Amino acid sequence: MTPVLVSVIVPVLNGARFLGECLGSLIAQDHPALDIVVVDAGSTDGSAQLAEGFSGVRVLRRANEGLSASRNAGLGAAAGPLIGFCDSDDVWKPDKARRQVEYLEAHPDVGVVLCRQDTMFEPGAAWPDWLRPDQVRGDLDGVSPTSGLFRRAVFDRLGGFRGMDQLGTEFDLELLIRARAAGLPIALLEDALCVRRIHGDNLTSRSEPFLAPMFKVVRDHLRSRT
Amino acid sequence: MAAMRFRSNKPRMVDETVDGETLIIDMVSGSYFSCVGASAAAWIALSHGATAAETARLLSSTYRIATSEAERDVEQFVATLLGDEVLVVLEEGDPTNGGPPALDTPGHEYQPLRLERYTDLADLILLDPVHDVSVAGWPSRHE
Repeated sequence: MTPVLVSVIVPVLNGARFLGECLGSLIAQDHPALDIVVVDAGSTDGSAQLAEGFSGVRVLRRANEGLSASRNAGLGAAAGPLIGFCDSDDVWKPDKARRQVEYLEAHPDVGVVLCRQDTMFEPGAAWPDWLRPDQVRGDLDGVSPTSGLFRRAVFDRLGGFRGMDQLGTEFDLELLIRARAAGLPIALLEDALCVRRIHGDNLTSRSEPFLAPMFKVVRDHLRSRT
Repeated sequence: MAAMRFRSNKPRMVDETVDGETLIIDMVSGSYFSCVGASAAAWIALSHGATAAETARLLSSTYRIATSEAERDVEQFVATLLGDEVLVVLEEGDPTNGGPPALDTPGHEYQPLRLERYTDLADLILLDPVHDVSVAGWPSRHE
């Protein structure tokens, strides 16, 4: 049976520092059919050139219109019926794509399958003040919305990611909430299949000053219910 | 209970009030709560350190209802808020919100106080949101 093609969208803006390791982890996937799309938003640090040096990686060059727009551009170029995302400073474990594909093939009703993540500290990286143990499981690792492998049908039905101008970094959450509201089941693999890197430069939206977008996402959902 | 003062159960609970509607999100359970109109006004007063009696008087004068009705409603409302751990008793030395702000009740008639609780997004609210998203680059330094 021909393996299903998985498109992986990697948005990058001046992320050359970790991009090579990221792409290396994608190329090393044990799923045999991968379509890697790097969306470079005008990097000046050689990110696009670095990505073009990887065999089998397509690179889209475009102006910087934000992370959501880069992801949507990647969606427009993605060839696979299954689509994943990898931030340019993170890495996938070798079996991530395969395990998520297997799950979606076994569960045709599920629209997106998430997975847990490991947390990796760069040498010398300070403990960020936003980093807290997972609320459910008590460890540091948690589940990133970015970890999802999506059916293309999800985006056909919902459209792409909405803008960061209003949603801040909550555009992932907003998409998942729309998926749930549309009745598309969201599943979770309890195994950590990707690795987020703590390098002291990460941003997070859940600290107090960044909560406004989350309120907007939840409020919009609440209003859509009534 | 009449003399107790309260505060929002921060940092577990985060809240925002817009156009007379308060949204409270429980960052531990992923539940979220909504209250509107007089309920939102009561929440604002209570979470800023007002006693139940003070809150009842505030509602009574704002909505022109009997004090006894307001007192009964506020007492039940406080019990609900405490039961859901949205509100906690203010202990000596706790930080306060500096007293209740002026009430803004745009177009709302008085309705018995009510806190709506939702759990449909709990698993999603608890997802880990870390991203690298400044306009300077992804990843980018937190200024």
